[in-house]
Amino acid sequence: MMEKIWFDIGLVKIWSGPLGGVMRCEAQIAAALLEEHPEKVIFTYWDEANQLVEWGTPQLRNQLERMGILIPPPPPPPPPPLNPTEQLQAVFHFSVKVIWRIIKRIIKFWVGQGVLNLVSVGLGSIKREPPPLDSNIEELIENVQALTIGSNDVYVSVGAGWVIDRYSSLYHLKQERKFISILLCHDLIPVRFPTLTLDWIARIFPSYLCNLAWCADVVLCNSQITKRDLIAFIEDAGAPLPQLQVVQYGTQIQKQSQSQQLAEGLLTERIQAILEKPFILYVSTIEVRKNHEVLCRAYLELLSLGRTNLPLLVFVGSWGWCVDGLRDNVEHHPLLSKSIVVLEGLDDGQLSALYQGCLFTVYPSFYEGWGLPVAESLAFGKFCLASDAPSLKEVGGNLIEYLNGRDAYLWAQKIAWYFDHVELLLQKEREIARLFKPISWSQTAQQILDIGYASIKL
Amino acid sequence: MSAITTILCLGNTAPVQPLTASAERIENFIQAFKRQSWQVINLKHEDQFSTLANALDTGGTPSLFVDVDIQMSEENAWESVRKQLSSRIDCLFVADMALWRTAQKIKTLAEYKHVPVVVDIANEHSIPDGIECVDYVFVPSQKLLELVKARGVRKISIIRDGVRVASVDEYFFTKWRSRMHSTWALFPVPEGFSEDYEKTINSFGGSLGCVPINSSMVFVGGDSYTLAKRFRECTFGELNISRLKTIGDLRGSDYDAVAQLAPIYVLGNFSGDEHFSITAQALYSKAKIVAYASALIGFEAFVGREHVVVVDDLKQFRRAVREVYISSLTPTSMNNMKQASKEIEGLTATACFAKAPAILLSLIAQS
Repeated sequence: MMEKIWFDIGLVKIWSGPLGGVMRCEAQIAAALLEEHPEKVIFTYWDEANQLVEWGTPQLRNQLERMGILIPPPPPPPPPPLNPTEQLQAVFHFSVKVIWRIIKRIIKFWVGQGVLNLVSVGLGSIKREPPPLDSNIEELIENVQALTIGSNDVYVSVGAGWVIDRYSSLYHLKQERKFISILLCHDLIPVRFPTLTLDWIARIFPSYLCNLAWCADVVLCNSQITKRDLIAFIEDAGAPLPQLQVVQYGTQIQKQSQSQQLAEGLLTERIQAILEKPFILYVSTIEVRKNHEVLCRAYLELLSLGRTNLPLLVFVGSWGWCVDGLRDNVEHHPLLSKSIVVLEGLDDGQLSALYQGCLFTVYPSFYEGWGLPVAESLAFGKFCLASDAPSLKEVGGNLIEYLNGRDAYLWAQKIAWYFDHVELLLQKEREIARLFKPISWSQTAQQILDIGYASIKL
Repeated sequence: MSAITTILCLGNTAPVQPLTASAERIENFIQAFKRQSWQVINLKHEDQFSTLANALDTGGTPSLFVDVDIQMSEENAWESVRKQLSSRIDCLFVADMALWRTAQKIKTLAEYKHVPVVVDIANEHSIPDGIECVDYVFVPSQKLLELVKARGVRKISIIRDGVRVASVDEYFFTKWRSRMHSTWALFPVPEGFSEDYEKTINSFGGSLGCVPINSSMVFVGGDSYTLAKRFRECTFGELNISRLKTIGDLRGSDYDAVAQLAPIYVLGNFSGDEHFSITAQALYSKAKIVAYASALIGFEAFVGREHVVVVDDLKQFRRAVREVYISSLTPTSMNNMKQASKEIEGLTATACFAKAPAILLSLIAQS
């Protein structure tokens, strides 16, 4: 019987900026586990000494709320005023507390540190994260109690192993403790298309994937294409082939109606202005692989044909690398700069409003491990024009239309066609509403739990 | 024939340890002759070490020197050498082709006209013109035997480079234990020529992904920098660098210590016939071995033993390497070792070179 899931939230812990796909995946699954299976999960990360350390659920909840993944609970009502007896009791308790704290500090100074050291030494490489130094001694002793990942436990990491590389420690610990490890592979883009990614990532990625293969009992893949690519890579590299399982990513983003968001003042004036006119949405980091280029060329083609009533093209995502030329065009080209806007740093609520308000979405990326924005588009009931990258067909099935990512004329034709035939879009949306079965992140988390249970049984 | 057999051995043994592979082969011949209580006079050619060598103890082997550049042109220099030659020589043993012409010149002298000439051909690049005229040829491999045979030589024997059995000072064990932190396997690179690096890399399919995390494949032999560079240039460059450790062209006690400490040997897709000492060393160490079938050519007696995994292709090789790293090292059964012991003793340099004196003796008797 599986005892605990040790879910690695190393990426969530260091989050500070916008939510990328990998970060979202880790955060959403962590949130689902925290909300629905807290008794089964220890949230953990690797500290600077390469030790597996627990991150308390309050801190995790707080971080997930900051990220907009969890909604913070409403503040508690103010306490009723105290009667005279209660006031006296409060003064007494406060006095006792102060005296006790002084005694504890004396104990801590003379004895406690030695006791703590002894306790710490006995724990091996896994410990709870010690609370801040000004906490009292009982808390310290309680929190450094032994937490040992055992042979019935399962370590799960869905994060960015190429960025936070703890495989050496994981491999060592796994050999020592014999637990099951389940690791997720998001894609093999830097291996398949090294020129479409940053040099340093392309250079280290084979090493990362190989280490992943050595450390994992089960590798989770987000699509059949990723699974296929990973098998080919592992065979090529000569690494061991772990069990591979395809899991489906969730598609949920907080849905709030526009009127609700407007009422709560969540939408900026800029977004409100966009929502008032027809627009096409592309949600993605802006980088070479994502192929924003083809959309710019398609728009230029339509503009050169004299189309004046084109819908606004809205890019939601951060500016990435090697796109200086594109940025220059989007921001300064006399025609394009009027037809394209870029929105960065949106929260889920704002993104939700854009998904709901758009005519349709586009996703011309050359290659994807999965294609989360296509799934999100469908979850919002919106039709999508996507590139014919293999994994996108797994996401969109027959509900969306696929185009050659390199054919700007084709994109121009199709964009114009659907803009001119809104009735077709409505028909597509009805079909999507009827046939698309969105996956929640809770379901994704449950799939991982099920795979964990099955692995232990094996 | 005098009571003491005297051999004039033409070839340089290095004056300083550790010996090069070719010097070690010559030294093994000399030691084999000496074990028969023969007198060996070593005729060397002048080289950068000659001055130093003159001053060194040569292990009881009298040494003469000839400058290969002047040996044929300056009669005075030649006369000096000639005067030092023993009046009685039973056999000319030419172990270094730099002295081939000197040997031919000696044979022109009346007193040595009927002395048999035996030549050791260490590699395919050192087969001299006129080789068909010698009385006997030694070669280290079947491949060379075929090549020499094709040149018209009829009397040829294979004298393998065996395993150097030497007691190693604890200093060397301590030194190398401290350098090998992780689980490691030893991959001997034969010579360090360009094609050897290619064969090394191809043996792994260009990727060291079969080596676990926190473990290393230790490459011994050749030039570390060049080998590491070649591995880095592969698609899996970063991965390879994280798994490989190169320790260059070790010799002497350093090599002996590493060879004896190695828990695992990995033998690439090299010919065991051509690189006998590498495979022999692996088998002699009694460590676990993963080897391409080619590496065991000439070692058929060892195929099928529990600690020797023989593979035919890259896929099998990688699987075997992975498994040998992650398996706990089960000791080879005693029974197996008993069966192997006689054959293993046959791998030592002493055993391999023992048949050379017998051949020389029969030639001397016929002359």
